[in-house]
Amino acid sequence: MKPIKITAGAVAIGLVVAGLALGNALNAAAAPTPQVEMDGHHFYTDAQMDAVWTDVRRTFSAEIDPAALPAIFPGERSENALYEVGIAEMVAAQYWRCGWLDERLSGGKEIESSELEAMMATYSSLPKIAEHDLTGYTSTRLAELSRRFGLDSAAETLYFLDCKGVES
Amino acid sequence: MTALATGSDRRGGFVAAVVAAVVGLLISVVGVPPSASATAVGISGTQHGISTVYWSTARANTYLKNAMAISPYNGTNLGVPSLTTGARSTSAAGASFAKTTALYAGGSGSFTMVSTGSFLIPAGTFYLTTSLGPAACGCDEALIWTATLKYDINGGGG
Repeated sequence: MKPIKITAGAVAIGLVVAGLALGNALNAAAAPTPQVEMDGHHFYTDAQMDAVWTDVRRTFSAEIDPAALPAIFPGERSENALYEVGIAEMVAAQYWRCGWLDERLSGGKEIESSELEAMMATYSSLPKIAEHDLTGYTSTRLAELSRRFGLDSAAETLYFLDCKGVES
Repeated sequence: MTALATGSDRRGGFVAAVVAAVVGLLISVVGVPPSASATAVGISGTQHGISTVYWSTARANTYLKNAMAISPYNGTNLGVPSLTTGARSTSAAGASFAKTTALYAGGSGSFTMVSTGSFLIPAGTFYLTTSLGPAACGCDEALIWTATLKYDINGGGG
């Protein structure tokens, strides 16, 4: 029998394959599959939610301190609860946006409309937002609502509507 | 609080394993033509078994006075005494700031809506939650429900 030669190229290919397999395994472990499905809607059980939340923290694309993300509805957890897919991402995105607003508004610096638009664009690009956000908070709409609520700016109005009570 | 789970989940094995937690499903948003001032949005769903379902859709109330009502309309006695629909924020306390509950009127095959807490939904972002009360029998049938969110119930945009 001929001895098998292990070349550097083969080793490299092997490492890449192993790395991909490991990556897939880690991803599979980190992103739970919703255990309940009905009519095309998917739900996580309460037992899955810690893993779901951990995965959202790990993969969240906007700049955020993962440790600062709030728990999901603490005090309401129940073994009989079902959570529609997307709810963890929605809470994370809302928390991120409120953190962004809070930092600037509390600093007393005026938020330029272009800056607010850029933030809103980032928010809209976050996972699940397009599917699950029916709030309709556009800059035009917020400007209208500013007048209704007697607030000074679109940013303040967004903070008033979306962030009161959102805490870590 | 167990039997309603059976058969409502297409993954029977899973249901057997989590007998008490069951399936909530299908929330569809159907626009309802607005009245002269208030705007009403109809939401319907079907829920099986004893569970609380946290829906992921974020909605916004931008008026000062709003209301919410539900009306389960499945005509059979499911042994489910109540269905509660709530709206809540994402605060640390998971605050429920509006709830309506419908109770089963035994023998009549219908539900009567009663309220628990406030009907008013304050201005801001909110999410919906639906909960079925503990079952009183071993029934296994979907409870079909509808809810109506009425924005600006006082009219005038205030």
